[in-house]
Amino acid sequence: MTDDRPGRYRSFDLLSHGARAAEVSGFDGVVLPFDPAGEEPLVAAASLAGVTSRLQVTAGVPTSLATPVYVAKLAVTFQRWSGDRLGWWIDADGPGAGPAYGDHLEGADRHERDLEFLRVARAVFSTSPLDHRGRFFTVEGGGFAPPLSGRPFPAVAVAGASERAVELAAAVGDRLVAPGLRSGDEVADLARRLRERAAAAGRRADLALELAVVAREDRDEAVAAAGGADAAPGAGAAPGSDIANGAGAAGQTNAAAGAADARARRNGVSANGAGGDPGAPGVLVGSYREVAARLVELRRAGAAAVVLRLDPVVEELYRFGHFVRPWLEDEVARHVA
Amino acid sequence: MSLDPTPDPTSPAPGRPPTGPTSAAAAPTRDEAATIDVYWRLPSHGDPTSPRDAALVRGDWTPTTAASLAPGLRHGAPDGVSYVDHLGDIARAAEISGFVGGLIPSFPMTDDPWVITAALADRTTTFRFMVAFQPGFLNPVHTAHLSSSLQRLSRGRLVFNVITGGGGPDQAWWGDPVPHDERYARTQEFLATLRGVWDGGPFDLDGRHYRVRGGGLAAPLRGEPFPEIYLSGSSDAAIEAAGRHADYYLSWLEPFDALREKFDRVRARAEAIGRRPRFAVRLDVLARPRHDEAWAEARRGFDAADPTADRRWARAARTGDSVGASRQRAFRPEAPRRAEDLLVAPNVWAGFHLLRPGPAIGLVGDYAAVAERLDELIALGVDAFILAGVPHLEEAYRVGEEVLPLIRGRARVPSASLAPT
Repeated sequence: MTDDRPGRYRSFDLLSHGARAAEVSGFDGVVLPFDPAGEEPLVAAASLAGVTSRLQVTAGVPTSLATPVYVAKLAVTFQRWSGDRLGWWIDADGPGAGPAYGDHLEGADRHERDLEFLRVARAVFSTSPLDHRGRFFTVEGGGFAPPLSGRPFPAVAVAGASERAVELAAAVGDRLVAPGLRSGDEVADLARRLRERAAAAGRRADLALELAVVAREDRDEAVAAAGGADAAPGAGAAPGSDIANGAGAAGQTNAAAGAADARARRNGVSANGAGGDPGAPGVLVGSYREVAARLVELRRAGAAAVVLRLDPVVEELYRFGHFVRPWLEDEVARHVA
Repeated sequence: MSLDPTPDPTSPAPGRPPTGPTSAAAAPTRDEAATIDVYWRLPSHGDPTSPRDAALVRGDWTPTTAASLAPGLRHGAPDGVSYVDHLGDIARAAEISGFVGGLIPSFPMTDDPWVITAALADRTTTFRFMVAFQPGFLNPVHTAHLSSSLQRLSRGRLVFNVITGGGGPDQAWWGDPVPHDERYARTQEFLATLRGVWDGGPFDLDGRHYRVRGGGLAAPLRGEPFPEIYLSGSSDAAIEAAGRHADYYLSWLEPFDALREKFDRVRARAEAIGRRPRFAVRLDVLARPRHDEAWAEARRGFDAADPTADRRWARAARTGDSVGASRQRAFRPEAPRRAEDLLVAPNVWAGFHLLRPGPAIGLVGDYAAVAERLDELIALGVDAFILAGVPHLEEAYRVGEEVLPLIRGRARVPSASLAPT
């Protein structure tokens, strides 16, 4: 038996509790970014898909992981087994796996590889025979045959807000996930740029925001809780609070959970925090109704979804499901009517 | 099953392979040498219903019809059963009936073994997942990370079957243009990197294929047991790589003398660098209560096989640069007219390629005869088996319940008299 840590939990226990809580509390998905100190995201994603039935599971895929053909192969089995619930999280602005992982590409070179990787992987799903000779990858007579062919490609979320991130999401992604809280105007501007770039490529991609949320019955309580969280050891700038993804375009709430919350830290188990911007994302603090109102405002400005970081994840997912989500549903119902 | 004639409370528990970065280099202890690990196979590419008919009707590799299962049809519509879940049923059957684990093959048309392992780890308790993979397609440091997470998820039940590739169209499909001998050099670099980062490093490599600076798994991930490595390949380059890195040198079944000669070559190469690999054989078994029943089954399979199947198989064995495949072809009698024409030694039948895709040579016979042949293989130095038979679910029970208990393993005398000393 593998006893990971002196604590009572295995990281997989915490991850699966988070995913179950996300499904129960109405979220659409969970995100497991690549983190050298976390569980490998595709392994973690498979373990989470096994304990949930509806949740989308988005796994961090560094493009240094394997050839795009190989990663497409991993993905197609995941899709066949899970009912097409896999997503890929491509970190466009973060540092990448780096030389310790044998990856020496940076900047424009890494961006080019990201583009080629996603183009080839998509083509493996859709085209047979596939022939490709690019800067980084070569395939001859490739592509899936039945029964592997014909599955939907994983939904690709590109994390970042740089020009390169926007281009990657527009050219080969389905969604851009920008870190941090932004004003309505900033969201509208980013969404418009993304839409235009995608349209120029004959594609569609939508915008999501990644936010930490602290919601309580009233504002004072929320502010106190947020301060308390900041004061906790390991919180704040440490990459690796939980992530949840919420408030979709149709008013559904999406969520994702890593395992780096207070419980994970107390028990010393590994984290699956977000890569990307080194700073903590903007924190949305307020009463349930204020938080919901702000999420609605962001959606109207053009954010089709949010990826929420909640800490500790199980308790905060349930809290969000009970107390914030009804306001969102109510808003959507009125909006649709 | 682990066949251990001297039950010893201090020997490693099943499910936790007795291995580490240095265990293969050291001379095996008495317990390790005495243990025979018997694996089953998870058919990651569909499964026929019997040896009589090569048509795949489990899984969706052929069109789903009223006869199909996993997935099948229910009221005319797909029933939503996932083939990976069926593989989970086979893994459970193998676990229950005494196998230590299963090999999960990887080819362009198969489901992927890493994801199968991650999906099925929680459904089994002792079953070891032997993941087949080709180093060339994966980054070795990411592979270490992935493998450590699988060890943590499965509590130490990951085993590697490292394939270096048969060349030909399959290699190009995967996107691998590297030629044969160079691929083995890459495999060696890959495995050196995997081991180098496993316990935290720092590991640096300036190799032909990989460059790593300050590599090493992060604190929560290091310290897991390093997976046992089954390495195959019949060429000189493969035997060189196996000598350096394999815990087990894995071969398809060949006529016993040819196998003995091959093992001698690997042993000599390994001993020259101070290592002592163990040996494993992968083979199909067609076992029935009586000899004539087993043969009736083989004959029906032979007679029902597509008459062009043998020629197509031989041609496929030529298109790659696999030395193992061309050896299988050479051992197979040409232009067989009857099933018996493919019998190359007692119970050793070179016709399995007609019953299902894969190598030609396996065992046909009654339970006792099949167990005797397996014992002969153990006597010539085999330490582990990967067995298979179609359909894999029912045959896991049959072989596990009927054949495995008859294998005597290393014990040449009743095990009761082999008291621990």
